[in-house]
Amino acid sequence: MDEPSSPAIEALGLTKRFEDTVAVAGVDLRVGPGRVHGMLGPNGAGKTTLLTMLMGLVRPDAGSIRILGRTREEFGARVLDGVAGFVESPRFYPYLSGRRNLTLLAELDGGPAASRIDEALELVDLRDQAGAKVGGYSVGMRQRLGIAGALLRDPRLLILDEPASGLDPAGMRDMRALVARLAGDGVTVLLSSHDMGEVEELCDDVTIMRRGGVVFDGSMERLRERAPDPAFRLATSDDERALTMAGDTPGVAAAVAGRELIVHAQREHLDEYVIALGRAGVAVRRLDLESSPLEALFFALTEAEEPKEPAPDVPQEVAP
Amino acid sequence: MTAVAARPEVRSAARGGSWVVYRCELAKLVRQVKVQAAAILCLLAPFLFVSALNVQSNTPQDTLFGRWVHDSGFSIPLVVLGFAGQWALPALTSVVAGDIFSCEDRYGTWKTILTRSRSRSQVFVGKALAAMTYSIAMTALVAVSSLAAGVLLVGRQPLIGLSGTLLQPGHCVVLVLVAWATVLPPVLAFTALGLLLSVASRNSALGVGGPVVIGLALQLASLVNAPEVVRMLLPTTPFGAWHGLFTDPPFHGPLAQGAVVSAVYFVLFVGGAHALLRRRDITEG
Ligand SMILES: Nc1ncnc2c1ncn2[C@@H]1O[C@H](COP(=O)(O)OP(=O)(O)OP(=O)(O)O)[C@@H](O)[C@H]1O
Ligand SMILES: [Mg+2]
Repeated sequence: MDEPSSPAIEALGLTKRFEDTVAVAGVDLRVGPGRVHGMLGPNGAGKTTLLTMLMGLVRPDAGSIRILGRTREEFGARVLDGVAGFVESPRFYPYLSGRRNLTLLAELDGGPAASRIDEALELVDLRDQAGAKVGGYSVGMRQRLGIAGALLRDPRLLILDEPASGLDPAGMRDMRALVARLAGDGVTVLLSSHDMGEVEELCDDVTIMRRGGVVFDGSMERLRERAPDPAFRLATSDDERALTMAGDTPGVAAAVAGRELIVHAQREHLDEYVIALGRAGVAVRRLDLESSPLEALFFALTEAEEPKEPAPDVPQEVAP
Repeated sequence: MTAVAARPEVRSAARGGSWVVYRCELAKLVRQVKVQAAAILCLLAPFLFVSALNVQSNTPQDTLFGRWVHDSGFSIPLVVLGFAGQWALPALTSVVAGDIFSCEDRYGTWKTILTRSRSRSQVFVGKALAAMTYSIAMTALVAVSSLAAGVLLVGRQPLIGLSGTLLQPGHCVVLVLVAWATVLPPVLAFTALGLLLSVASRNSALGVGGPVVIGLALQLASLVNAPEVVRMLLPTTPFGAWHGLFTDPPFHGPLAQGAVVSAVYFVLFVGGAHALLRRRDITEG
């Protein structure tokens, strides 16, 4: 049905309008098999709407979707065989226990998954609370249950909408480790996130959305290449002097921001600059990373003024 | 962390999909407090009703068979049936039918069940069948428990039919059960109305309350002298079609008419609900 090289997801020209809002505007998305693909974008960019269309919950106004080589037109609900995940926060029946909820889902899947339920609960660290009603679960526990519910389907494609939201630091760490391990087992993962660090850590490819459109689509390396210099927040004993010296140091740019300076520079140029400041008798009182290069690029891409057309320096490429 | 082992094929969703959904829905229903409460109510209410009648001498004269409540236990299930058809059966059925779709909106769980390789049609059919099963089960439960209450607390005396003939106990049991069976078509039509309101409003209060209010309003409409043809087409009229079973000779015309009218409503409501569910976007939750 689907050769190993054919994309896990191939969406073309996807469009969805909600009354006056164009939530998703003619988006193409190609997720390669076995890749971990990140979807980034500010609130309201259209990430969730795109994922709900992929999962068949929302009908696109235009465009086509092929998942694991299948279309809904040909396969009906079976287009989701081998696909699992959730959009926004996972939801369950509050009057049933976590285990009972998973049992119901396993029955809906039609699989004899009784033993797998325990494994899945174990995997997300919920085994001890599995007998309690979901109504009494915390947000993070529900998120874990959602991941367990997805794993029950033993997916080849996992679609996760902000999977880390609501998780505590240990939960986030476990979730990332789980995604990395599943990816290692050959599962394709499409995950949306607000956290550039998470995407940078987990993803091979990334799509950045803004106002329903795609402003970047390509591999993580491509994104890194395009990233500007990192920005640092600098406080000195003599900011005026420091600003002038920045202008004289190659590879360093600085601007006043309140009572501090924002300095853009690669690490090696920054080092030269800080040493020069010390030699000149300007004390460095604080030096913090303001935004990582990828964050800086993300802000540049998603906050720039009205890019009707993608700006010429924005890479538009298809994932390998 | 251990790996989730082996990869048993997620079985083809196409075959038996509705049946799987149906079983899951029943499993959910029996765990709901309101369903358990409704079952207990159906079981106990007839006994409480007879106990209340037994401590007073007057009888519910204005109800069919009401005057015989102290003389024959077989009048009890018929009096209960007379009351039930007015609002209790629509209310009882809509408790589940009016909520079975909108509860997924309330809990935000549409996305949970609709991403498990089951088509919307399969989910619809499974849920609709579960609601109908509940409606039929509750109707049967009230029928049997009111018959039991009558026989146990009043007795197995013969009953005087609507034309004055005496009906022997054995015959009474059969007639009572058949009379209750004849309300199943309108019960299912009201179940379908609950399903439609549940899908359309996405709101359980409307889904559950709607059929009751509509049922009562239609009862009223049929009381103020509506033309016969309008009366005949009301979904509430078939609730009274069983009266013809207790005349001599019995007349079955209203039963057939009622069945046809109920079937038409059923098809319209269920068809409408199905079309709405298939088309809608699931964005909440
Ligand atoms: N059901 C709806 N009705 C009307 N508008 C909607 C609906 N769902 C989404 N939208 C609109 O579509 C746009 C995209 O929303 P979407 O939820 O897809 O964004 P998102 O990228 O997932 O945002 P977030 O990061 O906040 O989760 C928003 O402008 C939103 O207001
Ligand atoms: Mg979202």
